[in-house]
Amino acid sequence: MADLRGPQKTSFAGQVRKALQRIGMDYREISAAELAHELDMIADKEKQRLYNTMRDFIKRGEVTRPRDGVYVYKGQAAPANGNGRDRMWAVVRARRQVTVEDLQQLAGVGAEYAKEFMRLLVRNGAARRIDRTGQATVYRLTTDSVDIPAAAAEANAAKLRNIRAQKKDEALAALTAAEVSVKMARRALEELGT
Amino acid sequence: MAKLKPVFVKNSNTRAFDDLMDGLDLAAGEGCLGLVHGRAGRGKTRTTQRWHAHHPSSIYLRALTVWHSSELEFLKALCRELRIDPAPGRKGPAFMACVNALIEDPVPVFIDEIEKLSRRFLDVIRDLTDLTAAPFILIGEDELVPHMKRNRRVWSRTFQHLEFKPVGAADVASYAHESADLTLSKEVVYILHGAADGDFRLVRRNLLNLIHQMERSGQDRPTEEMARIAVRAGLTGR
Repeated sequence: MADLRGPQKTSFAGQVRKALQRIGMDYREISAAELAHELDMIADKEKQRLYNTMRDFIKRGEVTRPRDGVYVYKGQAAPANGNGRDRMWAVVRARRQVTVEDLQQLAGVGAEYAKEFMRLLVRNGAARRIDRTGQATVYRLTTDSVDIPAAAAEANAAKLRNIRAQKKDEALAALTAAEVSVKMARRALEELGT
Repeated sequence: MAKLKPVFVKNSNTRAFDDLMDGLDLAAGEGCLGLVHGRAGRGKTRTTQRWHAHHPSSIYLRALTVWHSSELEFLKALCRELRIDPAPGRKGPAFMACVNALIEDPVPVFIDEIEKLSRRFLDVIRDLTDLTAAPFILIGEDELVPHMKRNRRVWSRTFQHLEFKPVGAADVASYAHESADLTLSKEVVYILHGAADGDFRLVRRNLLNLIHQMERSGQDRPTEEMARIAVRAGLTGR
């Protein structure tokens, strides 16, 4: 049984993770009761803390819950290497023929980013778009280049800069509107006070 | 139309693959071969391509049948990936150009569908990994193992050896949950799992059929009957 009162300071989440690693190897299903037992937890109050931690793990993708009260430990996600564009380019070159879903799954990018990247490759003549009725659109690589076509890389970077600038403007506009609202509310309160 | 979320579901095979790559990393500088094999449909290629995408400096090559007649075509393809331009037009200089580039930067090299190539290629790859200390990871179907075992010098240098196992019942439940927010009963999981014979592509196809069944019947919980129909539809293609 796990000793949670050892001399080393380990966070509660760290202790839960170690317990999961001990009993949940090879994606074995673990019941909540089994996990609580491994952590030597009996009182409901203690268990509540465990459930909260498990919720955090599920949100992070470290744990899945196939059914109520049953968990599967997936391991800590490795930090993504390279930027999204490099990862997508690696997938496109390896597969030669991809869908947006392939890029989402294998390069770990969002659908919009993947579509935009493929649109740029098509526009720069590095890929061809093949529409199929009732099925996902396929993009076929038409270049043998090892590096991302420069025009696509630059255009992509410019596009992303524009998206970021647009988002920043939107955030600033929202902030200004909020400030104005707060000022107006304060003024109204002052008027009520006098 | 039924759709699954584009998630990459981790399972014991993908974790073992990460361990294999970590093992090769620990052995960096010693020169080593890795071997990944298993039946089609178990996720070898997608797992490799995902790792390659997240480590873009690595090299991924898919063996082509046209290379079979000469190692030069393979060496030229490797030269291109190593940014050796122009690639030498003769075998010896092309080999040495690859060696020099890999000594400079010993990145992992994946060669998928290696069983398409003749045994002579294994000797070339063995020489490359011996001279450069760059890890070469060979990916193929089950016939790859006897193919490599026949060449003792290659087999003895195979530092990491991983077999992709059939998809398990827990993987089916996880995939349904992560890709479709579906919580399947044990019985439904067993039906889908039993029909797939360890092949992930069949799990995916049958899961999509199951979602179609649910949409048609307007129910939000899959029943065993629906699972059976979904599997039958997969077999008959209707």
